[in-house]
Amino acid sequence: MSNSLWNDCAARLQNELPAQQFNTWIRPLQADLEQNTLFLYAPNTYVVEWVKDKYLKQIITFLRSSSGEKAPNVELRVGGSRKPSGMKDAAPATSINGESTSASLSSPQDTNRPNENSAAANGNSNGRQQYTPQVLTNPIDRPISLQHSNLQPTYTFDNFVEGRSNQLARAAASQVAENPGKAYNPLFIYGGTGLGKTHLLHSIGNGILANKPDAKVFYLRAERFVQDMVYAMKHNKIDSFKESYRSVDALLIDDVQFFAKKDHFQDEFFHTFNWLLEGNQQVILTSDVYPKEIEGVDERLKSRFGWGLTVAIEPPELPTRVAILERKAEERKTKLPHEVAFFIAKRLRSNVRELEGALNRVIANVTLTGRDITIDFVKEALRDLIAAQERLVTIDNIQRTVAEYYNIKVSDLTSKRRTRSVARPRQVAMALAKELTSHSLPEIGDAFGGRDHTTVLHACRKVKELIESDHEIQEDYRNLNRTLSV
Amino acid sequence: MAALMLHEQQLPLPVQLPDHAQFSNFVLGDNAQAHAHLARLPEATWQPQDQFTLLFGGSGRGKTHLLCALCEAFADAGRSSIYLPLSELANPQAVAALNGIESYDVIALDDIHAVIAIPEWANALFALFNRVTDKRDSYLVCTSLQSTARLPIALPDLRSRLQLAVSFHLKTLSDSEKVQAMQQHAKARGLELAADVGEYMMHRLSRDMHQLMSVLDELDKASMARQRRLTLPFIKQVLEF
Repeated sequence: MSNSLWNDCAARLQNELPAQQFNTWIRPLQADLEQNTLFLYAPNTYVVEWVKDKYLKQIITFLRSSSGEKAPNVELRVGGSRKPSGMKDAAPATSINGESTSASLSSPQDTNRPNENSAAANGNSNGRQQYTPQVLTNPIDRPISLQHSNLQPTYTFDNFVEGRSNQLARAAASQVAENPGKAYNPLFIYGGTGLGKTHLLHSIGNGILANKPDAKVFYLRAERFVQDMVYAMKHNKIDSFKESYRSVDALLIDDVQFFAKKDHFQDEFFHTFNWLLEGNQQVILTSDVYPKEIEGVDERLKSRFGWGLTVAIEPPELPTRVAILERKAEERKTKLPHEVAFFIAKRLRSNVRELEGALNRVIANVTLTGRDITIDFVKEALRDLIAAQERLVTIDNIQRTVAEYYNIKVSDLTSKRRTRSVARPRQVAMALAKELTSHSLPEIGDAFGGRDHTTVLHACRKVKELIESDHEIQEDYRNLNRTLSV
Repeated sequence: MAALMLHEQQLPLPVQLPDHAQFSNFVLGDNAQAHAHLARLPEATWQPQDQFTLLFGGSGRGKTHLLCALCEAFADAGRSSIYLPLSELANPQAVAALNGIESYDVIALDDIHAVIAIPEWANALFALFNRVTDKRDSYLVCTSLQSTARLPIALPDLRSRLQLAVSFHLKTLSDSEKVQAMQQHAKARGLELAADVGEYMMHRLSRDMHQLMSVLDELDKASMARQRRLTLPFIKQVLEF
């Protein structure tokens, strides 16, 4: 009952609203009908407010037209539905939480309303698809649970590719995993983004658990610590927040630079940090820069960060980049020939994520085409990443480039002169303008000295014909196209 | 220029996509791989390498169409989705629209270039990428005018997250494919657009797809109002050629 009512309403909205609006504001809503109130759940207060402001009246009108006097009240809330919408099995109850603001507006119980037939209400009258309801399976915005380590089991020392750039960090991490709280405390790993700091952090956590399965190991990002604390303060649970964080055997905090300028949280973190160090509980931290260089973080905290061991991870050198690609391809059960890995690694140097992104694109192409991975295949798949960067091409730019290429003046291109030395470059420039811009043919004609659109059409046909028959023109056109597009 | 005058009024720039964007009515052109990559996601077993996708390229190449089609296809598979047009949310307060959206099976963020230089947005997007990464069962698909390398991203951490995405450069359709796209669009509205009429429009109007679709919408309205088919004389009359 609840879902069919909402589904009918949503189907009608789908037929009335542009696709973007429907997909943004209506499709994400989840419905639950309880005691004549239709609860509509949105992911956050922003969506709640927007829907309330722009669509609630329309929703109520639809409900009234299909259910008449029995039309339920409508209440918008943040959160996930307590019941799945019926299209597939979903996880059980998810609570309403964090952002608890709810907006409600009762539907007026007006009996003088138009009655609409069911086909229209189902949105099927014009053959369009019927709305399919949303099923959210996860709770939204809640405190992180310290019952779980949050460790990714896939990040281990075994699949961490070691090279000159990271071997010191790898060795220190391994020792900490063997002797938590004793080897280096805190261990501070720093380096640019995408170089493997998070991988090492998880490897340490997984290593500690492998040696001592009942150890309380806990991983989180710095911003999550802040969110958790906000939640604890909001719900008067700051004592249990402190107790939870202080009871762990190893606390692994990623990206501590995100504590910047959050003085209140830094203060709390400082105390937690001291508590753990005094109790010989292991602390491992990562950041994108050397501790002393983190901006917006309290000096006393920076100084504490450097008490144990501070190690750097540098961008991987070529052999490591090749090894990383080969390892990741193997994990994805993809056969990546060595020379291809070398080809990619030589061109993409900045970080591991960039390499992984390139590999992801190559694998996507393999999945789609079923072809073997060769250097040519990779060149094609990665053309966008490696070389071509799109530029905004204008008619002015085309005219300047073509004039320079043929050693004539821009004014020649727009003049009435019809000699071959000017007419041919003009035709080439017009054809390029048609290919590389979205201007209308009359606009292109205008830009070339007020010529008619049929002249532009003729030029484009002529150049197309010449490209096929005249090697020189073909070469000119290709060179100019490349110069303008890259 | 004068060609775009309609009833002595400049045509408004289109802001909305027609309401029937699906994978089946996307004209492929040179963008078959991006289409195939996205079209297989609703039924695919989740793999980490598919988690992030970026579609980039200039206006009128079908980025929004593909995102809306993706939401539709996920709905057909009984799965959840949310689409956010970030160019309409380009202010620091609107970052709240990202809260909790990692719960959806697919998160479609259109026009990330519009917000990526705003520090609050860069931070919020970075946090969203992390939440989606940790969740390990959803897809985040973004679109942008530029590639990751060219985006003016203030936060290096966010840039490196975007680098992880499977990235597709969408290309413009050829003129004949644009006519085909207009014909499909017209058909969905119960109109018939003959090829020569489409070609006639291509030769006289801006060849930007958004502009062409906008003109088609106007022609649809005019055809409805005057009970006329889309013939050449009718189009010439309406568009005042």
